[in-house]
Amino acid sequence: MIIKKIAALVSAGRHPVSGEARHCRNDSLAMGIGLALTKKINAISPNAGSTNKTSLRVMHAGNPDNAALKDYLALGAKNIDVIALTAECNIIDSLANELTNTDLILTGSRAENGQDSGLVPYLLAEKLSFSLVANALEVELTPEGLEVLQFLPKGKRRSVIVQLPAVVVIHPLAPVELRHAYAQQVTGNISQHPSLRFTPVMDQDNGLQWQKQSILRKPIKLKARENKSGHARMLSATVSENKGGAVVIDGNSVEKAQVILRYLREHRLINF
Amino acid sequence: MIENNAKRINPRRAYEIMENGVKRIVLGATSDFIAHEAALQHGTSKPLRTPKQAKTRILVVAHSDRGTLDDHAKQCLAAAAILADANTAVVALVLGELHEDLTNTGADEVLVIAELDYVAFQPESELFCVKAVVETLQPSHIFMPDNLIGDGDLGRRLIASQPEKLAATHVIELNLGHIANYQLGGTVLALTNLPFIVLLAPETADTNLPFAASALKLDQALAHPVKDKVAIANYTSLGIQTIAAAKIALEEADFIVSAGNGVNNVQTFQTLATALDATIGASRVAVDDGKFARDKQIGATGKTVSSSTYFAIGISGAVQHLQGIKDCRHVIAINRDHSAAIVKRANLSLIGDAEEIMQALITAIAEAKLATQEAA
Amino acid sequence: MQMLNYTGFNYSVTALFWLASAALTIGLWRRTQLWRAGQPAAFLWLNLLAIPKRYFVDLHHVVSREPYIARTHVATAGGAVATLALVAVNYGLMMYSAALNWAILSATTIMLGGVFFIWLRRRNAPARLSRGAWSRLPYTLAAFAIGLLIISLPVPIISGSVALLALLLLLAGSAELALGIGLGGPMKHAIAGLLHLAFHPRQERFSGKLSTALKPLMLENGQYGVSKPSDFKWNQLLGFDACVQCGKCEAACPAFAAGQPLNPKKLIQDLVIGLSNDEKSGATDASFAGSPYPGVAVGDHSGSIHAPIIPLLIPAETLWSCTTCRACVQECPMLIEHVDAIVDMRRNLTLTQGSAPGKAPQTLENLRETSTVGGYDRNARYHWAVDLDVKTIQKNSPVDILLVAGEGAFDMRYQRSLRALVKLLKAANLDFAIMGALERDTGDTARRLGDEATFQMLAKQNIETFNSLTFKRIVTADPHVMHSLKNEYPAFGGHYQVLHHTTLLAELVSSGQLKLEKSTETRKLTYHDPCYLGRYNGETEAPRTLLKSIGLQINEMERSGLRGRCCGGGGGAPLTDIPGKQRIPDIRIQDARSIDAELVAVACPQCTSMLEGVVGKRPDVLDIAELLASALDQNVEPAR
Repeated sequence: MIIKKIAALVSAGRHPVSGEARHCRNDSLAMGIGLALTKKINAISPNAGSTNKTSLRVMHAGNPDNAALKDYLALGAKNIDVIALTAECNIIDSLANELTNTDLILTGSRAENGQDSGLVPYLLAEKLSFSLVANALEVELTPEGLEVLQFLPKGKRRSVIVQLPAVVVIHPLAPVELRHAYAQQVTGNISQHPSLRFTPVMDQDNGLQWQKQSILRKPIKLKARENKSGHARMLSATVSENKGGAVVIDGNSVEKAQVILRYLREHRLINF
Repeated sequence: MIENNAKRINPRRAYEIMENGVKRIVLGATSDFIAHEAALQHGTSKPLRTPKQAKTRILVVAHSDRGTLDDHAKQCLAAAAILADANTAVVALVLGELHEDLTNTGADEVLVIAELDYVAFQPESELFCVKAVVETLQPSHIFMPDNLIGDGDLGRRLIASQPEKLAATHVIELNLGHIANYQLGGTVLALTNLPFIVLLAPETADTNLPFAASALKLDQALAHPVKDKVAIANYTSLGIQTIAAAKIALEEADFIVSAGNGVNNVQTFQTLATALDATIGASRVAVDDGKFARDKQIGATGKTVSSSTYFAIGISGAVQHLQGIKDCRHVIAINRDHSAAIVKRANLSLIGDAEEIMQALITAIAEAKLATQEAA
Repeated sequence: MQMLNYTGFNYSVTALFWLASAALTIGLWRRTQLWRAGQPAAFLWLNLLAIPKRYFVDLHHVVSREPYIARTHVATAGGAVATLALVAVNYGLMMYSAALNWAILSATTIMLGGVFFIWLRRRNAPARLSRGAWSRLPYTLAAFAIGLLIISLPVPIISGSVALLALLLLLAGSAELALGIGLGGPMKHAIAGLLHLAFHPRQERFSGKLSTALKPLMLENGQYGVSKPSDFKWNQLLGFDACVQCGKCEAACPAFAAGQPLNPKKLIQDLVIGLSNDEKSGATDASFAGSPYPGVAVGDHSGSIHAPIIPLLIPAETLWSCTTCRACVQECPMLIEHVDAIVDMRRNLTLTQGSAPGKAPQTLENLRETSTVGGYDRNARYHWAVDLDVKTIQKNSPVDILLVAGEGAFDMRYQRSLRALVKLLKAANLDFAIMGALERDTGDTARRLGDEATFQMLAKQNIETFNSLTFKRIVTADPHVMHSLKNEYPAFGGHYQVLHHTTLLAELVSSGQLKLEKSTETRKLTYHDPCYLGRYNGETEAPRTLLKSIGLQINEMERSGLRGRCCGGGGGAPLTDIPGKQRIPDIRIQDARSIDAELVAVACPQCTSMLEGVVGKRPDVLDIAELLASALDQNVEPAR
C-alpha cells in the first residue's frame, strides 16, 4: 500500500475558562500522529526523491489570523495551509474541494469552538466517499492497507485494516506526546496557498436553531412521571435524600466485606 | 424466492377487544397485539405502556455487549419510552446478541441482529441494516447512545449519510420540548427542538420506569439479510484484544482500587486488586513511600480518574486527592477513622482495619466467584 | 668545585623556573582558548585590578564560614604566591641573593605549614570533597615547598644527592603548578578563580548588592538558551573552570540530600569536561572522583565543546531536579553561578524541544492560555476577599498600596493567610486595593522552567497593566511574585517598589501604625526562611522582628537565614517531580522536629503548601500574617 498525501485537519480551539484562542488538543493529537506516520514512512525509504516522499499537509479552514494556529506551529507543524473562511462558510465543501487527492485525512474527535458535534470527519468522508475509522489510537501502514488500533471502553482494543483513501478520527487517549516548543513556533509558517483561494461555498441552513444558555444551569435528567399517592408525595417532599454515603462502623470484618460485595452487586459493578 | 406482488391478508391482524368482548380487526396496524398479550401474561405489577396499535415509532439503536444492553443503551430506551405518547411504540434495534428481557426497559418491540456484534468492525453492514429498518418502520425519531462501542460512530455515519435530516449529538438533556448539549468547548449549553436523530450522552434519563413494555421480538427479516447486501468491504476487522486491568491506564480504568497510607501490606492489596480485576492506584503518600510507582498517583498532582468504581483503602482523602476522583461515580472507602474526609465523599464507608477487611473481602470474593461458577 | 656546583645548581633552578613559566604560559593560552569557545560577553579589562579586593573581601567572606580551611588556604596560597614571587626575582632574574633565600625559606615554611593542615584534613575528609587529583595536591604542593625549602637553606647543608632530591621535588611541584594549570589539573583553580573574580558574569555581586535576577534572553535574536558548552558565555565557562570541587554546594543542595539525581558540583565538573574537550577528544566523566548524581553511575557520560549537553553529558533529570533555591551559589567559595547555568540549559530544552517533564508542560500551557498556573479563571482570584470589603484597583483611582496575591490566591489554604494579611492592612488603616481580575501570573514558574517566551509575554502584559494603574508600592505575600516584580521586571521596563508583606508589616509595627498585643501562642516556634525572600531578596530580619514584636521566641533550625534550607517548592520542582529517595519538605520538617518545634512560621505560599504536605505528625504551619492577625488589638476598631 502506498501513501503519498496525508492531511491533518486542525481547528481553532478555545480555552474553556479564559476563552483564549489555543490549539484544540484533539486535533493536535491527529497532527502528532500524522507527523509521526510521515516520518516513519519516509524513514523506510530515505533515498526517495522529493516527489516520492510522503507529505503531511496541516490544514485549517477558517481565519488565518487566529492566534490558535501558532500553537500548532509550536507543536511541530512546519507549515499550515489555511483555507480562509468566514463563519458562514461551509467548511465541509471547502475542505472536500481541497482534499480530493489525499490518501489519508487525520482529524480530532471533537472541536471546541463551535457545535462540537464530532460530525465534520463523517460529513467529509461522505462527501469524498472515503472510508472512515473513528476512535483510532495508533495507525500503521501495512501492505494490506492502513492498520488502525481502535479504542473500545474497559481496556479493549480492536485492530482494523482500512482501505485508502480514508478519514481516520483520532481518539483523545491516543498515545501522542505533544511538545510545545517556542522555537518551532517562530520558524513555522502559516500560508494561504494561492490554489486555496477560491470562492467559499456558503453554508446551507443546517436546520437547527440553537439557543445558548449558561452552563451554570445543570442539565435535568429525564424522569418518567409517576402517579404517586398523596402519601408518597408527602414522603418524597419531607424525607430529603441522604447526601453522605452509608457508613458502617459496627460488625466484624467478614460482615463488612459482605456489605462491600452487596454494594458492588447492587450497582452491577461486579458480575459474581 | 418467488416474488409475488399479490396482496395477502395477515390472518393474525391486530385487533381491539370491544366493550362487549368482541374482537375487532384494526386496519393498517401491525401485529402489536401479540406483544400485548405476551406482556399481559407476564403478570408484571407495573401497568403496560405498550400501545395497542402504534401509529408512530421511536427507534432506539444500540449495540449489545455479551448479550446485554448497558446502562447507557437502557437510558436511551427509557428516554424514548418516557417521551413516547400513547400511540407511539419504542422499537429497540439491538446490534449483537441479546440474552436479556427488555420488558422493564421501555422497549415495546425488539429487533435483534445478532451478527452485527460490536466485536467486529462492520460499519457498512450496520449502516445498511439501520437504514433498512428506518425505511420499513418510518420512525419519528432515532435515539442512540453516544458511546464508544460503536453507536456513536454508527449514529454519525447515519447522520452524515442523510444530511437533510435534523440531528444532534452529545445530547445531555432532552424532553418533548427541546434537547440540549454543550457547545463552544463546553462553555455554553445550547438548546434546540427535538431533531430526528438524537445521540444521547450517558445519564440523560432515569431507567426506573413506572410502566412495563411488551418487548415483542420482531422478525429479523425487517432488516433484510445484511451480509449479502454490502458488496465492497472497505474494512477488515482483525479482532479484539483486552488489556489486563492491571495494565490499563488509570485515566481509562473503570474499576480502581487505590491504596493510601493505611495499607501496610501491599501484597494483600494487590491480591484484592487481582480478585476484583481492578486497576491499581495510590495516594501521594503511598507513592512517596515507594510502595507504588509515580504513575499510579491519583490526585491534583497525579492523575485525574473517572472510573465507575473507586475503592479507596486507607486513604484519608486530602483535598488534592479528592480533586483527582471528582468524576468517579461509586466511591467505597475503608478507613480507620470515621471522621476522615474520604468518608464524607464516599458512597459507602467501612470503618476498621484495612488489612482485616481486605483479607475478608478476598475470601468473600473467592466464595462468590465459586458460587457463580457452580450456578453457571 | 663546590662553588661551581652551587652556581650550576642555581642555574638549574633558574632554568627550571623559566621552563615552568613557559609551560604555564602555553598552558594558560590553551586554557583561554577553551574559554573563548564560549559566546561573547561584555567585560572590562580594568576589573583585573579589582581582583585583590574581590579576593580578600567577597571570596574570603564565603571561605571564612569555615575558619579551619580559610586559615590553611591563607597559609598555603599566601606562602605559595610569596614563594613564587621571590623565586621569580631571586632565580628568575638570577640574583641568587642569600637574603632573598632567607625570605624564600620563610615563605615556603608558611606554605608547608598550610599544606600540612590540608594533608591532615584530607586524611579524614568529608564526603563532599573530591578525591582523585585533589588528593594528590597536598603531596605535590609539599614537594614544591620542600624542594624550595632545601634550595633556600644556607649553602653548606647542600650536598650532591640532597640537591638532586631538591631539584626533583621542585620539578614535581612545578609540574603541578605549571603543567597542571594548562592541562586542567586542580591548580587551574588559582588562575581561573582569580580571572573569574575579574570577569564574573554578575558584576553587581561585588558592589555589595544581591544579584539574583535571571538574565533575559533575546528571543527575537534566536537566543534559546544553552544546548552545548560553547553556547555558554565565555565568562560562564571561565567560572566553571574555577571550581575547586570543595562540595559545599553538594552539601547545601536540597535535591542532592533528597536523593534526586542532582549534584551541583558534578554538574559543574561535567560542564568542565564539556568545555575542555573538542569533538575529537571527547572525554567521559570517569575520572570524576566525587559524589555522583544520586542514582546515576559515573563513567557513562561524555561530551565535548560543540556537542549537545543533554542527555549524553548531563541527564535531563539532573536539570529538572533543581529547585533554584540558590543554596549552592550562596555556599560557593568560587562564586560560581550554578542556577544560571541550570536555567540556561533548561531554557534550551523547553524552548527548542518542549521537553520539560511531569506536570510542567501542562502548567506552561495553563500559563499561556489562562495566565494562571493552575488553569483557573482569573476573575476568581480574589473570591476569598468578597466579604472583606476591600477595594479593587480601578484605573484613574490612585491607591498607596497595590496588593498582588499571586497564584496562592486560588489555594483554599493560602486564602486564610491572605485574609489575615488584609485584616492587618485594614487595622493599620492603609489605603490599599487588590488587583482583581487584572492580575496575571508573573510568569515566575515559567521562567524557572526555562519558558522564557511565556515569561516575557506575561511580564509585558503585567507591565502594561501596572503602567495603567496608579499606586505607590506593591505588596505581596508571595516571595516569588516579589522576586519577579522587583528584580526581573526592570529588565523589561517595569520599575516598581515591591515589598514583601513581612517588610511592610515590620515597618508598620515599628512606626506604631499597626498595634499588636502579645500573642497567646505558647507552642515552641521556629521560622522557615523562604529562599526567594532570604537568599533572593536578603530579607531575613523583618519576619523575625515581627515574631518578636508579638512576644514570640524563635528557635532557629539548622540552616536558617541566608543559608536556610529549601522547602522543595521553587523552580517548578514540584511540577517536574523528579523521583528521589525522599521528599525535600520531609527533610525540612525533620529540621523542625529535631529542635522539637511545634509551630513553623512561614512567609510564602509555596513553603506553606510544601511543608503542610508532609504527612505524619508534624508541627503546625502558620503564615506570619496569621500569627500577627491573631494578636491584633481587639479593642481598636479600624477606621472606615
